[in-house]
Amino acid sequence: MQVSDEALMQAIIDRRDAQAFAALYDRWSARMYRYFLRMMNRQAAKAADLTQDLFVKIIEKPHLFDPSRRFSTWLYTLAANQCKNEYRRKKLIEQVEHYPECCGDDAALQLPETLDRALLEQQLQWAICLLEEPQRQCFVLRWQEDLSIKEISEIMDCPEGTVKSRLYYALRQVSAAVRDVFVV
Amino acid sequence: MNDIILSLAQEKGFDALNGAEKELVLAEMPASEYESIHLSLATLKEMDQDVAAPPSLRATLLRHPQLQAPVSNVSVWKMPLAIAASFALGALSIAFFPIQNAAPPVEKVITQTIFQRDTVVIRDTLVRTRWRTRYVFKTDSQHFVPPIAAQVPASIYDTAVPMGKSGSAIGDTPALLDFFGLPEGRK
Repeated sequence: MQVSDEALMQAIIDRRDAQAFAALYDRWSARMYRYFLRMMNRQAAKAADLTQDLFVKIIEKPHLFDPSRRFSTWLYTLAANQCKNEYRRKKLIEQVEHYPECCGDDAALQLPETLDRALLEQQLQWAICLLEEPQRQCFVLRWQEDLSIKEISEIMDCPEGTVKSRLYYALRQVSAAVRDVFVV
Repeated sequence: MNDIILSLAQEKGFDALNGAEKELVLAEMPASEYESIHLSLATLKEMDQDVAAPPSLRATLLRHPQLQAPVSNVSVWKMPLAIAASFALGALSIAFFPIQNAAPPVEKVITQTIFQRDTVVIRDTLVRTRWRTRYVFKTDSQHFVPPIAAQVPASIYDTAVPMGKSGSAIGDTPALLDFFGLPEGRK
């Protein structure tokens, strides 16, 4: 039987268990890296840095974990706060002025099989890049990280109604960008 | 946008909807908008699925000093063997390198100033003692050997050691005293 994330986290809190940490890392690193990649305009180096910072925080400050909450919610809360700080620090949104910068540079990005598919993904990435930070957070967490509205409201520390309205506007904006190009 | 339409958009495109579903959708939005939402949601979930964190990151994080090294999987039967081996090594090291129970040697030198004028000082060593304290862990008083320092008579530390006087004191010979005080060329 697989040990729960919360039990692994408890082992890290109690005795800084390297094996428990390795298990948690293996479960969550790819997902968190993807999340940062999406939030940081596809900048692979920045996403790697933020992923490292996130896991260093788990090693150095495991006591911040509240055992009454789900590990995934706590982890995404940390990650969302990192993104918020990063936006605040670099005013990332101002950089998203033109298309090529935001739409991926990285070796980590694999081209899909068909050109249409590649264009569609690029269009979507661009549309996500243009979303404002809170809307983008909600959008990525809901439609790419597959979290529930309740979880997102906990992570972003705002009412569920606010999350729904942000999601609604974000989805309209993103789908409009796709419609302009693909849907006749 | 209501939740039913959203859940429909996650599952199927406009053409795959049945009559009632199409009506529901068209009451809310045009078919093209529904289709673009469906296309977006379907693509979003599949994006970046093969993306992973850089492989070096794991090793870097596991080297963090605050993490404890993983417990090795030593079998239970190997444990007494390991303990016995460590004891044997300890005994061998004691046998070959005995415990140092002696402190470093202490030296005491007593000198007497024979002559001093300006920067000219003539001293003579009266006593030079050198001893090493050794701790003997024996309770039997018969075998107790006092430290060497204790065996040295206290009188030798007395600076007023009687010395055999030969010749005359420099103070009694003013000519000699003047000679030492003269500049180099006039001696």
